Amino acid sequence: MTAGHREVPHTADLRIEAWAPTAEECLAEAGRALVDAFADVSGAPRERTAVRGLAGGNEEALLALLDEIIYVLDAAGEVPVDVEVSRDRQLSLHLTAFANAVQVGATPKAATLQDLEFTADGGLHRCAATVDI
Amino acid sequence: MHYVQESPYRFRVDRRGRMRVPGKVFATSQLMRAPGADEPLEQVANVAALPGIVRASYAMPDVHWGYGFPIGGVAATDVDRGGVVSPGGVGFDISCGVRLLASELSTADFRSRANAIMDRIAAAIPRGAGKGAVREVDAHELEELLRRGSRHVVEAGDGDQRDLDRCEDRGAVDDVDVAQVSSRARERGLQQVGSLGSGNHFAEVQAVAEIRDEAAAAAFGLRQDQVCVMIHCGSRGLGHQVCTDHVRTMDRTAAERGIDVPDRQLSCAPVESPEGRAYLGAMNAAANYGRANRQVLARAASRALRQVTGAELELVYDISHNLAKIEQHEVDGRTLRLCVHRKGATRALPPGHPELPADLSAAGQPVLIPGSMGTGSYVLAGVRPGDAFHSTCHGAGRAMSRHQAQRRVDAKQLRRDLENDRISVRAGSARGLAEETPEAYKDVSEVVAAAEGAGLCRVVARLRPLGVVKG
Repeated sequence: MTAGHREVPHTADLRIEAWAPTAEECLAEAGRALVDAFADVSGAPRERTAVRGLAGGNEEALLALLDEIIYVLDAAGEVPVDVEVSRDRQLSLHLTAFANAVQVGATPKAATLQDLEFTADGGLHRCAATVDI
Repeated sequence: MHYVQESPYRFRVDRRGRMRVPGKVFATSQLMRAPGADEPLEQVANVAALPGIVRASYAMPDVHWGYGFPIGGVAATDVDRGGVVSPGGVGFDISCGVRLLASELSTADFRSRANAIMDRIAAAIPRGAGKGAVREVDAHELEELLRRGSRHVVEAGDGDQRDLDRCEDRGAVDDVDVAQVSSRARERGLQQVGSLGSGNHFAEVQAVAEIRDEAAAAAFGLRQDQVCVMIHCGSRGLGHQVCTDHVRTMDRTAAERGIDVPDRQLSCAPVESPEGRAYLGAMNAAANYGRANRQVLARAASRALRQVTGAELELVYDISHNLAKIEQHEVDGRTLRLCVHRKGATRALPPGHPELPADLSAAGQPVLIPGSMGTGSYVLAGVRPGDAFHSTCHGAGRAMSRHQAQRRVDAKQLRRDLENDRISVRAGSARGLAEETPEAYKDVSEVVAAAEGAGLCRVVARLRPLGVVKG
C-alpha cells in the first residue's frame, strides 16, 4: 500500500487519517490531509519554506506538525502547498499566502489529544488525529 | 449506555466503574433516543471520574460529542478539597459566546433596504482565515485587552457604559495572569481582534418574532418585530492556543500527580496547583480577549447599520458558553468554593442574584441561544431555583457530522432555500455553508423546551433570522 490520506466523518470537527511506508512520510501525509480539509492549493505558488525540527516520539511529532500548520495559518496567513518530513525529522512547510488558495472548508484551530493514533504494522505506518475547527 | 428516566425532562446515569458521582441529563425521551445520543453519555460518565467533582456530571438538552467533555456538559469540582480544573472542560474556544444587539428598526424597515444592509454588515465583519480584523493592535494593546477585555475597548472610545453593564462580568473577568499566555497564542491573537472566524460562528440580522415574557423582554430592551443583530464567536486563535498549551502541560503532569483520566483530552490539575492556577490565569485572559472581540465586532456592525439606515445598535446582553468560573454554591448543606466548568452550556442566574445588575435583577440573567443557520434563536432567562449550578443549554447542538452535511446538502440549493424564506445569505465558502445546514442540528425549539421543562430557564423571546453572515 502506498502513501495516502483521507478525512473521515466526525460530529463537530475534523478527523484525518494518513498512511505511508515510513513514519516520516506518514507525518507528511497527515499534514497534507489537514490542508486538503480546508484549502485547495492546486496551482498556488510556493513562496517560502519554513523548517523546524519535530522532537519526541511519533505522536508528539504529529501534534507538533499539525500545530505548526495551524500556527502559520493564523499568525502569518499562509498555507502549505506541500509538506515534507525528512528522515532526521526536519519538517518543511512549503508555504503560499492563504489568499492564493481557495478555501473549501472551515479552517483548523487546534490539534486535540482525543483518539490520537500512530501505529506501525507490516511496514505500513498509520496515524489519525482529531482537529478542532 | 444504561440510564433511568427520573421525570419527563430528567434522566440519570447511575455510578459505575470510575464514576465518583452520577450523570444527570436534561432532555426529552425523543432527544435521548436520537441517533448518536449515546456517545455523549459515555463522555458524561468519563467527566464523572474527575477528581473533586461534586453532585453530578450534567448534560444539557443540546449535548453532543466533544473532546473529553461533551459539548453541553457542566461539572463542578470542590476547589478546597483537591478539585481539578480541566481545559477540556472549557473547550478550545474559550469564552465563545453570544452577543445580542437591538435596533429601533422594524422588519419592514429592514426589508426595504435588506441587500444594502447585508452587504454593508458583511463587508464590516472580517471572517474566514487570513481575512484580517476590524482593529489593529500592537503587543501593548493586546496585553491591555487580555487584562481588561471590553473595558479597554470602551475606554479607548469604541463603546459606552451600557456595553459593560450588559456584558457578563461587566466586560472583563479578573484573576488574569498574562504571563501564562504563550508568545504563540499572542501572535495568533494579534491580527484577529474583531473577526468572526469560521465553523458555526455567525453574525445574523434577526427580528423579534414572539415575546413570551413581556416584563423580562422590556427589561432586556426587546419588543415585538424589532430588528436585532446576534453575533456568535469567541477568542479565535488565541483562545485555542491557550487551551492547546495548557492541555499539553497537564497531559504531561497528570501522571506525576497520580491523576488518571479515561480520555487524554480530559487532562486536568488541581485548581490549587501551579498548573491549575496557570491555566485559569491564561483562560481568564483569553475570556477577556473573546469579550473584546465581540465588542469590536458589535461596534463594526452598528456602524454598518448606521451608514445604511441611520439606526444604532444597543447591547441587549453578552454571555459566554465556554468557561470555568470559581463560584460559591451550597452542596449538601455546606457552602463550597467550586470550579464550575460550562462547556457548551450557559450560566443562567435566577432573579435576585447579587451578581446581576439592578435593571436585570427582577427578570434574571439573559441567556442567548443561537439556533442553527436559518432557524430561530431564543432569549431565555435564569429561574429560581434552577439546577446544575445555575446553568442551561447553549444552542441547537450538532446532530450530523460536517462530512455527512456536505454529502447530503447542495450549498447552492441551501442558499436558494434560505433566500426563498427571505433570509439573505453572505457566506465565506460553499462548503462552509453546507456544513452548517440546519438539518445538521437538533431542533433548537425542542432543546429550549426541554431546558425550560427541566426547570433550568424560561423563554423570554424567540427571534427569527432575516439575514446571515457566515464565516
